[in-house]
Amino acid sequence: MRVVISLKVVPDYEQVRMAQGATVLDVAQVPRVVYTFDELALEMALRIKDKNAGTELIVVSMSPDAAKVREVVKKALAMGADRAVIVEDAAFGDADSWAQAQVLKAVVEKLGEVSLLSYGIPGIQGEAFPLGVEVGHLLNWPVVSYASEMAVTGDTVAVVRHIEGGKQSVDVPMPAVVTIGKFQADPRLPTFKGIMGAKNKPLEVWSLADLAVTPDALGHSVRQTAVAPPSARGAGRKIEGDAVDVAKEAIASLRGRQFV
Amino acid sequence: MGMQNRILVLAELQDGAIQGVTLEMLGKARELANGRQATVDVVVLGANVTEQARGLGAYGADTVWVAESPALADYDAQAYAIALMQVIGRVEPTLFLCAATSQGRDLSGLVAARLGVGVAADINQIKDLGHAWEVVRPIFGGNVLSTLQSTPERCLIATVSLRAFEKAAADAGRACAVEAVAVDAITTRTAIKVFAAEVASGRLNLGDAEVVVAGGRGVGSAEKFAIIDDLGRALGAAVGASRAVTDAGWRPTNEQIGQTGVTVKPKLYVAAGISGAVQHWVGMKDAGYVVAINTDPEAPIMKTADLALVGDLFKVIPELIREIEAARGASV
Ligand SMILES: Cc1cc2nc3c(=O)[nH]c(=O)nc-3n(C[C@H](O)[C@H](O)[C@H](O)COP(=O)(O)OP(=O)(O)OC[C@H]3O[C@@H](n4cnc5c(N)ncnc54)[C@H](O)[C@@H]3O)c2cc1C
Ligand SMILES: Nc1ncnc2c1ncn2[C@@H]1O[C@H](COP(=O)(O)O)[C@@H](O)[C@H]1O
Repeated sequence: MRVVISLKVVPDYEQVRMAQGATVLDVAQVPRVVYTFDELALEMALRIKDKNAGTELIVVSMSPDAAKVREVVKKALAMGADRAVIVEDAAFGDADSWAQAQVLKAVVEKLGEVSLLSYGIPGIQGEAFPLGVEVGHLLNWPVVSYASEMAVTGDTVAVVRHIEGGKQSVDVPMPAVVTIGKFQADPRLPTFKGIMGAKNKPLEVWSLADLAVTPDALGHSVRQTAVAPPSARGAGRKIEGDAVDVAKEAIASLRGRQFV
Repeated sequence: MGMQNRILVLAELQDGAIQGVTLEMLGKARELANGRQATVDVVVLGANVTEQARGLGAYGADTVWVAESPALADYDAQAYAIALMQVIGRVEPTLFLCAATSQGRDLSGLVAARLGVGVAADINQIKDLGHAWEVVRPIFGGNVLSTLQSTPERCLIATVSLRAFEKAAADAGRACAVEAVAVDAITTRTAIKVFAAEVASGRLNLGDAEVVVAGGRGVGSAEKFAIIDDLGRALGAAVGASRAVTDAGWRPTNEQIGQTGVTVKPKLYVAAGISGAVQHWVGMKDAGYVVAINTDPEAPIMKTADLALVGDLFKVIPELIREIEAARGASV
């Protein structure tokens, strides 16, 4: 079984800041990290590989600059992935999700015999694009989002979705696209043996020409026209002292705001 | 696809009930439609939903499209998309709004894929520029606000953050047209099989709650978490937790607030025994008013909270409850 994980490299959002009054966002100096949920998807796929002998795990990363994602995919290889593909094209710098979806589809088709394509759900880090469903649509594969558990039996992947109000279990025939949400686990660390072994694993860099994707298929439909910092949140009021007094003062304040 | 001067809203349902965010989207859609003489269409997908759907006229809908079928009782992305595309094809909207929920995000993407356009995700502002739409959405965990413009003369698809807009006011006398969407042909091409749906029961829905009380590692144990429930009850709040708590198994994971948990946007958020790590903060930073209770005045959350109560939560919370009850008693 061939499993593909797409790893997106993003600026570490915790370290992205704009000064009050600024109108440009410069993230050039912000350290890059793997999108949190992509990392969870990788860990989940590694667990599938641990349980299903013969699984080949391929990590794919798209970037305008292969050098920037090389360390990331190498780490994935050290963690246990079998093969890595970087797709490099300057156009990725501001490609929208639809364009990225077309590239990912081409990658999956070029690799061939892929049973499962997985990555993190778009989410809170502001990368909230619908890449998952778009790739599924293009490949004509079923798509299941917000997965928190995944288990493969034969040609079926059993997925538990963690959504508002509870959990939903679905059985999905493969090939399928599964996007990973609230999977409660920390990604494993590469072992020394893994790091050494990774050196001999295949890492290829493809261009869009290697995929039958023409750069003009990369288009925008929603264009960013401005950026701004959120309005500063002023420091609040501190109440100290005896618990009884603290509570009295706190509730008086909350009553003033009609919360109580 | 052509484009008509119509704004389409996808109603958000959970357990067969229309959710508040639908009225928020309707309020904004109505306002935008009035500004450009457009109509507001709403699409409702599910089983036994016609009566509820009809009621949306009071909230500003001109036409409600109802796709009703037992096949749509449980959410299935592919089946829902088939029904939804029929409505999109007939309405040809200039703007299509979905809630920024698991369903809304899925379906916005499925429609975008079929129309070959992108999605403006998790927006909390929208403006009509005449030839295009301008929206604002937080990116990088809310550290930056990004303004986006849609391509002129193309439909904009956007998912709308919860509580970004005011709910539409009800006008009981206002009626709307109801159009049934033919759904007999819907078979799930993909054979996705729902075999269990476990829905959190009894407790208030976190994501939707106007008041949230959350407990962190400082609470100490599953048993002691009762004190958080007590405060929750006193304030009429939904109860949540930090990841330290869900990791320890004191509370179920679906009560976790934060980056890898639920995002909440209450008017009042009370954090007890929570340090306020950035991964927690991103899940509740849009709360209207934040109260933190912590023994450590230097904890990150104490620096950003509107009201920072320095003290042991086991001493402060019982006093808070006493004060709330006293205040209640006084106002009856
Ligand atoms: C990828 C990733 C994703 C994450 N996602 C999430 C997420 O979604 N949600 C989340 O919450 N965290 C998340 N975390 C974890 C996060 O970094 C913190 O570790 C976690 O939020 C800490 O929880 P806490 O504040 O309850 O515990 P702590 O940080 O240990 O804080 C406990 C606080 O309680 C106070 N305290 C102790 N005793 C008392 C008392 N008697 N009275 C009053 N105060 C007391 C202490 O002073 C302290 O400030 C994530 C981390 C990573 C790496
Ligand atoms: N699935 C992916 N894998 C690798 N890189 C990606 C992926 N999706 C987006 N990117 C890249 O991540 C950067 C930011 O993308 P965006 O969030 O769309 O602005 C761009 O350089 C994209 O090309």
